[in-house]
Amino acid sequence: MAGAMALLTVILLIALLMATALGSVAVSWRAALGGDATARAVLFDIRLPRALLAALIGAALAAAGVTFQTLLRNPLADPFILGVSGGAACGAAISTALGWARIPGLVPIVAFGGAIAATAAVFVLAQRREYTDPTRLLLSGLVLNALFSAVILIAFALAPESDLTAAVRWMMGTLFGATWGDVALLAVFVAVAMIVLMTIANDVRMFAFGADDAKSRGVDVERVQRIGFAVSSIVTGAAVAVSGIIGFVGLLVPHLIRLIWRRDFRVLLPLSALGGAALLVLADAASRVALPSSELPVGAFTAILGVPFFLSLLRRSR
Amino acid sequence: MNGIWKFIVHRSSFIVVFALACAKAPQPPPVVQRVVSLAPNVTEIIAAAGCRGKIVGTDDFSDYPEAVKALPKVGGVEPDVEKIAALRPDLVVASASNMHPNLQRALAAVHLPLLVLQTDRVAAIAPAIERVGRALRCPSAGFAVSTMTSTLERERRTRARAPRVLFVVWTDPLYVAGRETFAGDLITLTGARNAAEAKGWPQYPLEAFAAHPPDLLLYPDRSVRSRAVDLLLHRARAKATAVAVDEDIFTRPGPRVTEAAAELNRILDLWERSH
Repeated sequence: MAGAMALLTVILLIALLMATALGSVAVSWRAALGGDATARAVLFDIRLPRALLAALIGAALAAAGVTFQTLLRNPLADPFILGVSGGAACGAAISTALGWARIPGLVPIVAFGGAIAATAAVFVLAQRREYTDPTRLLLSGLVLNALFSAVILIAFALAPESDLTAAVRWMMGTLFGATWGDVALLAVFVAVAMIVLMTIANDVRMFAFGADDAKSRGVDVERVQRIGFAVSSIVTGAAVAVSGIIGFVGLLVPHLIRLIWRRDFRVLLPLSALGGAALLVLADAASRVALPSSELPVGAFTAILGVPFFLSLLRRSR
Repeated sequence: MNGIWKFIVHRSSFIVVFALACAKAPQPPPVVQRVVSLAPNVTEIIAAAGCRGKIVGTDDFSDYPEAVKALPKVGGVEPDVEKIAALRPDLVVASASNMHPNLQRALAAVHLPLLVLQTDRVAAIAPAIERVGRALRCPSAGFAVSTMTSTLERERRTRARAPRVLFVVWTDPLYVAGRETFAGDLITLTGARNAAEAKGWPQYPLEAFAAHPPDLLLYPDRSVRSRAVDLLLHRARAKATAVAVDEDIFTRPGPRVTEAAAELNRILDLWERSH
């Protein structure tokens, strides 16, 4: 366990180093430290916060993913399954259609609000007398996501033409213009989420054989579910508000980690967070250097990097 | 008996389908009196050719010349075909760059002929005006073309210290006009250098913007707010002269390209004088 943590931490640090060294402009560390204002701006104001933000988002999405998968006992659960992505995208699409995309900073706030509202709605829909039924939860999330998709399409049809490209790019995920403020804000969310999830990790682990089994072992199922879902959804909402919808990380990083290390939730949680962070940092770096003087959506590269690795692991694990 | 009839019906249905598939697109009448324009720059092109009086309807966004504002509107990217048909035009004219792929079929279904103009570059405007002139038999198409071409040539410049210009269409993420676009052509025509190397409308990397900021940053005055531009410059710790330009003439490839070139030259001359 300690070995795995150390290995992933090293990989993450290497990824961060690579992400800071790679870019469309050739910059040297020596120049930056020596006082060259441009080099310093590029390295410390543009690349470094962006790399750190990618790490935080990757960690948030992977941690949320592994929590959902464990609590719902569903390997196909991802951080967006409870309507978070649909709600955030809906908020972003509606505010874009209203022309709010031209006001800096407004769309992420509305997106976050949409994410939280959607999660709350899903919970209300899935309530039963004694506990939150995971199946109803999943179904409500599915249905609401479908509704949000419809609203998003309508909003995009009505949005001003000039704002559309940026809105679509947001839905594909983008870390453009990441600031230290974004990093600080998300760091708070991720830190709190990780602490809370680690606190209930032992109880979450008991869900491995089902909610009823956990209950019989003395776990307060209702409370653990509520905390786990709420924390995961909030941290996902924050990540999505900052960077748009980056798929794949939350769904498949936990599986990747599980294929390699096969441990229970208490270990999988920090390992998934580290793995997700490293993957997204590398994917973002790739999206910046793939084409000579433009950027590609980061969500494409999380899949390009992760899928072959995942498939090879899958084949070997037979 | 049964088999024979089956055979005949089978074969003739093939022939009918084949014939329908080979049906030609509707052709305009020899003299076009009523025309519907589906793009603002197409409206300006038709008006410049001298046929403004023949326009009976336009898209939602056409607003120049002033008189077309009063005309019936038929919609945006997906125009209302029923409204177009209700205006009984002889010809519908659209722009290739923002045309719905199903438009031709939709109009053919109501027997309306469609003329598609290529207008994505500066060099494409004159041929478009000529095409419209031929199709609509417009009196002053040739005159409009020669005036526009000569005015445009007068605005062509070479500058000793060509400033690097970036035409920004969105700030977050940063989207710019690259080479081989209308705005890119304007920049080259007036003797400046386009800071964006890629073709089309690429997303420009923030660090390239920070490390090599352009001398001049142009942005369309309706779609982009000056506040967003200020924020971008602050983010990149870059200093660049940001100038808002009239969106209508800088993003509509049409006869007013001469005004855009003149305005751009004015901006560039001002920049040269102060550097």
